[in-house]
Amino acid sequence: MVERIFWAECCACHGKFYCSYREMRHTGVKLMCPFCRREFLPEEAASIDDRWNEEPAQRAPGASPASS
Amino acid sequence: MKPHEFDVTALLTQLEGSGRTPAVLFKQPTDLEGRPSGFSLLTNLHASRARCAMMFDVDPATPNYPLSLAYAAMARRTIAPQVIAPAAAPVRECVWQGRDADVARLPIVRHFEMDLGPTLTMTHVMRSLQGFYDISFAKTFYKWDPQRMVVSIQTRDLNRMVKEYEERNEPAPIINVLGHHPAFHLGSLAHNKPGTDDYAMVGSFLGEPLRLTPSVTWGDRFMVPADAELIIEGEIPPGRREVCDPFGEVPRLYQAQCLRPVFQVKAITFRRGAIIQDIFAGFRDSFPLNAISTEASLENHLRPHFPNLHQIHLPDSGSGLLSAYISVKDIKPGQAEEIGRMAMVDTPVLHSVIVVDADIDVFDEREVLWALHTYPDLARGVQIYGPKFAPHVAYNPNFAPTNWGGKVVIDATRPGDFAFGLRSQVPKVAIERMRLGDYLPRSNHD
Repeated sequence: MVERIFWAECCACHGKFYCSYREMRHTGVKLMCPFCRREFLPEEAASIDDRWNEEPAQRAPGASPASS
Repeated sequence: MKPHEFDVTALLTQLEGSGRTPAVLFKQPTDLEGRPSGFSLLTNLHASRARCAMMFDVDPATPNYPLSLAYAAMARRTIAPQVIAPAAAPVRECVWQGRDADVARLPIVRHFEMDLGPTLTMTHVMRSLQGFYDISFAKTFYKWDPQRMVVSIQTRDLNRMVKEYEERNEPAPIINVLGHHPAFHLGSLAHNKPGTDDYAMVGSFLGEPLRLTPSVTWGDRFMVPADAELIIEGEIPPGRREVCDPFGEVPRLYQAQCLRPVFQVKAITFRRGAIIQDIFAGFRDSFPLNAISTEASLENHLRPHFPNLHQIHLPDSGSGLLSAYISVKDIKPGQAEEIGRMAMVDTPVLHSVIVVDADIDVFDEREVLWALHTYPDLARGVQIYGPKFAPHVAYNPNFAPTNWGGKVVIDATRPGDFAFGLRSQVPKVAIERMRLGDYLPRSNHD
């Protein structure tokens, strides 16, 4: 399935990049900005976009598929 | 030439934009500190199928399906490797250990704007505790530390091996092979069964035994390719993960930032005048790599079930990865769907399979799209499958940014079960009789 990601805006240089939601959104791991190498927690980001398409969420393993 | 400041990929982008696909050798690239590295850097090697054919002594004039068939035949054989003494091994001509084993002394390419940093893109080797070796492409990220990198392992066998060592709480030996005979790297992509020794498999592609020699770090407990250009020997400490990615992947989307195993550098060994190789992922350099090995795998998998199979191609438009065009002679009712389903079981990363008649050249995308736009009855010739179609595909982190789980098979063959129109064509005898060169100078053909 499509991996859920979130966009983060660096609190230092305001560069935008994206990260694995499962591994980095609420795990206490610091993100590393690929543009300026600043390390920061998601909560410290200048902005976060973690919107998710509910349709693929319903397709998660164990959930009922739309079709099979 | 500063590879870590996009100099290499900026030039490759312009070459590709102008329709040129040469292999490119940078003779004086800098290291990561901007100093002359003393190494050469080779890239774009796989951007032409004709060049890939030459890697296996296949006639470059037949770079399409004859190359796939030759690869399929090589993938069915193995040749046992040969061990030589370190003193005779070219890769042991120069050895950096301790503080000298500093990866910042290498020319490492930073490829794309949002990449985390300079990234090595060639093959890695690990040895299972069961004794077999696996060779797989993986990315290794420089982490601004001379002896610590992070390796983005995605393949089945490498992941299993990391787990084996972690369960014993032992560091896992790993090497990064940054250059070898091109058949070594392209051959390593052959689809094989778990437990296959890749050192023996690669011998088949080289046409001779792969020469091995004991590693500097582990001796004969871990053998390394003796004829490699450069090898980084390292260990994966159990349980340690660090941030890696984004990286512009083969399907032309960035892999999301994530956590991956640490690669602790132990030694760097190389031959004098070593040429370091790199792959320009997401561009033509990466497409034939996947396409040729997958066409061969599908040939080996499908042919026994479908003797009327004609040709298979994974086009550049699907990154040589996500879509397959398959042509069939005298197709039978229901066969397109059977072929599509079986192809996706063999190659779970496929999103779409388009089945066409044998008179459609699957290596000419205009012909395939013509058939797609012309022949199918869209009410019955298109089969869409949900994510439970092939459960083992459920999570493929390698290409997760675009792995929806849904798949489509399109029967784009000419309907044969009722009276249907015929594709127009000029008589072949007329084409053979009338030579264009007799009427137009060659330079005016366009």
